[in-house]
Amino acid sequence: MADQTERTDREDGPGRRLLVIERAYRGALETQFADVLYLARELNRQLGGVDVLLRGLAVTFAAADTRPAPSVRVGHDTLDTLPSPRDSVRSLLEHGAGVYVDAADLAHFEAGPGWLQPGVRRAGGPDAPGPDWSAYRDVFFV
Amino acid sequence: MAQRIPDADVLLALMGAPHTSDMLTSAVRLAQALLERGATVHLWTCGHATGIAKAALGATKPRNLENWAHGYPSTLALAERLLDAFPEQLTWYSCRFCTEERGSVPLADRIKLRPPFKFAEHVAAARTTLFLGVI
Amino acid sequence: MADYLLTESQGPWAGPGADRFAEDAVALRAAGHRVVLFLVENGVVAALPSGPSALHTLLERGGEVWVDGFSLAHRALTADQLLDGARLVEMAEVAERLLEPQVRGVWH
Repeated sequence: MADQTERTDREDGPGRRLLVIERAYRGALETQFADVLYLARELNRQLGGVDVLLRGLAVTFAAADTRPAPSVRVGHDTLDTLPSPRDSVRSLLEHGAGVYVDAADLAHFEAGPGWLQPGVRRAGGPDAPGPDWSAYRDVFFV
Repeated sequence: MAQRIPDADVLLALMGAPHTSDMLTSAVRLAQALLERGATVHLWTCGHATGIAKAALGATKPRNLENWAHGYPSTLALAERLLDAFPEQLTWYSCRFCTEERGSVPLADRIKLRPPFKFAEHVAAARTTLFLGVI
Repeated sequence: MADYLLTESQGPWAGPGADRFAEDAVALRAAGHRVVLFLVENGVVAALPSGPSALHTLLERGGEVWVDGFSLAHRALTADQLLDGARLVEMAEVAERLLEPQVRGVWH
């Protein structure tokens, strides 16, 4: 069994973690605020900083779109607390996380200049390589 | 005594697990739209979808660390809102096998437990059946 | 001739199943059935120009492609990004179609 000193070094040592998100839009009604980006913000806080790489449909999390999340009528009430991924990405950036989007995947969705949020970095291609896994302490798919 | 299944316009069989896709969101939106048009709707849950209405969920989700004072309804609360609003049109059934196998017992009182071998009777009672997600 | 309301909820990023389902829609249309392919959840992405070619074929052969406005907005997409011929709908219209007695529904 590892001794306490070793475990402490492992948990508190230097080095950022990379979180890769590629499965997007899961469980809006049941998840509400507690989506994968909520987890990312908490990991950023607990682990002393993370970078997030968005792939696939998750690249739309980084859109500059400021429309509020849609609401759902349930019985006689309206549920207006569905996940708001664009706001969550803004919050991640404000809290010091790095946010990357896969450039090839972004091409499927990007509709003109200004589509992407300021501060989000494109990853892919010779001029903008993606995050170097070897530079991170851990890589987690979340 | 054998239970007679009332007729329904639509049976929505929720097979997929919550939190893995937006299946539940679509199911609730479609059920609401059908019910608002006067339709009769049966919901049947199998697999981990049985957990949508388990009693242990209570009325609200755990607290949001970033918005501590705000209350967020649980899936059970949302199920009950639907049942409250359309008591004569909506019936919610849950597969007994899946409910027990997936640890969803006890369910909310208004959810009707049904043996899986009676599912065909529910399909027969509905004009249209949709399977949402996979078990 | 039957009347089909086919729902695609997964979309091309979930794997090849969405393409196969769109091909099912084309096959039904080719057999003479009336077909509406309703795209919802991540399925709405299929209606972008980069989506499955079967959607173009379906529209060319007289099928309909409906796109859920709620799902589209939640994914930061807009109607002007959709392929020509796809139509934005709300769930009310889907419910009304499903309640028509001759309509058969299939959900993928």
